[in-house]
Amino acid sequence: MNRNGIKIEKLISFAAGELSEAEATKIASKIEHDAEAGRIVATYRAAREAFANDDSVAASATAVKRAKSLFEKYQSTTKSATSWLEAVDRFVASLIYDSRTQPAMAGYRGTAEAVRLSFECELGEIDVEIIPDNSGSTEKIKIIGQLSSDDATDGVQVALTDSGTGAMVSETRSDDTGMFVLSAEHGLYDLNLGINEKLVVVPNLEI
Amino acid sequence: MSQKYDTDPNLVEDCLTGKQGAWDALVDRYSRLIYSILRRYGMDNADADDVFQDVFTILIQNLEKLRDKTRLSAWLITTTHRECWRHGKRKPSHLELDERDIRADEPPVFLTEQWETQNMVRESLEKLGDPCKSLLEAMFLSSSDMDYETIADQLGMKTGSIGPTRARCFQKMESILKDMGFDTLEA
Repeated sequence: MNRNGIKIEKLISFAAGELSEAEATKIASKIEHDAEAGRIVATYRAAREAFANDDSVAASATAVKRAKSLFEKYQSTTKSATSWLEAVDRFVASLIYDSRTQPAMAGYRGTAEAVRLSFECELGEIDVEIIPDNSGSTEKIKIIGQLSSDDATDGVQVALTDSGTGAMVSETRSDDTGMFVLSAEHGLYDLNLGINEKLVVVPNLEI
Repeated sequence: MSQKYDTDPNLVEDCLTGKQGAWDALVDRYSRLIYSILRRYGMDNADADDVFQDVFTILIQNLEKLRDKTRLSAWLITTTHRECWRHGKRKPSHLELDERDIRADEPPVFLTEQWETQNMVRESLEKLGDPCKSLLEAMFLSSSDMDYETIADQLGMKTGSIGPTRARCFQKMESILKDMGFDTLEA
């Protein structure tokens, strides 16, 4: 095959440094006006240099096999971890109490920055206290919650998801008293609770 | 004739739809790249195996974010570098690099480019398969005093066919490299 009068074979020989000086000079001057030919030469030389200097080593068959097995494990983990968030029976909890709208009680010594909220729906009540989390280096907010329900309240899956994207931000399970603790940065979130295969959502919780 | 090269975005998309085969292909494609970086940073086999798993775990957790990436190689090199840094292996042991010049979050650019190029060349040769793979490898490694006759003899080919066959094989390799997004480097 020819490329503007230069045989590919000749180009590769030139790239490999196999031509006589006279022939190489002739080809070099033709390549100056032929970008495609120049690209072929450059690619051949780059590939040859890369291959000749390649000191890479293969991973062990065991390591490769373990890496491949991650897929199945990850598939089953993500399916079970998020499937409860897709429950068909969904209940949106309504706000019934907001400490920010209440007059200060005489003698009450609550945390100055804490916000207390209460929500209710058919399945129960959720009390939430939102306080600054000063334990780490970045500014975070702690959400301490308490679930009250006729259904079992221990071991309930609780997740904070981004209100806009639905992406998981933080998750936990309630303890044997129905209490749970989550941590997140300032933002707008949905608080999700999986109660008896149903989903309770506290939407647009501003933290 | 080898099959068309399956791009990284295609494989990632297939992974996200639950295809184990696509994940296997990604692991096969990048295992050598990742493992080699770990060994170059001075890790022994046991540590390298552990960090190797960590890197692939990070990859599988971030597939959704990576679906638009043309090439995963640069991202994987950076991730592997960060994991090496995290594990206390801060630089390739064989290189004279001032540690002040190395950032924890990304490797030196010249190394990233070098490793990416080597990985693509290796991948394209694997995709080509024999007889092209063996011929091009022999030609790439041949010294100036190795003649066509010796190579032809080694590969069981006719001497006169070496030049034309190499040209045809390289054109196929070039096409694969193009599909991979290989940018021609300066000669």
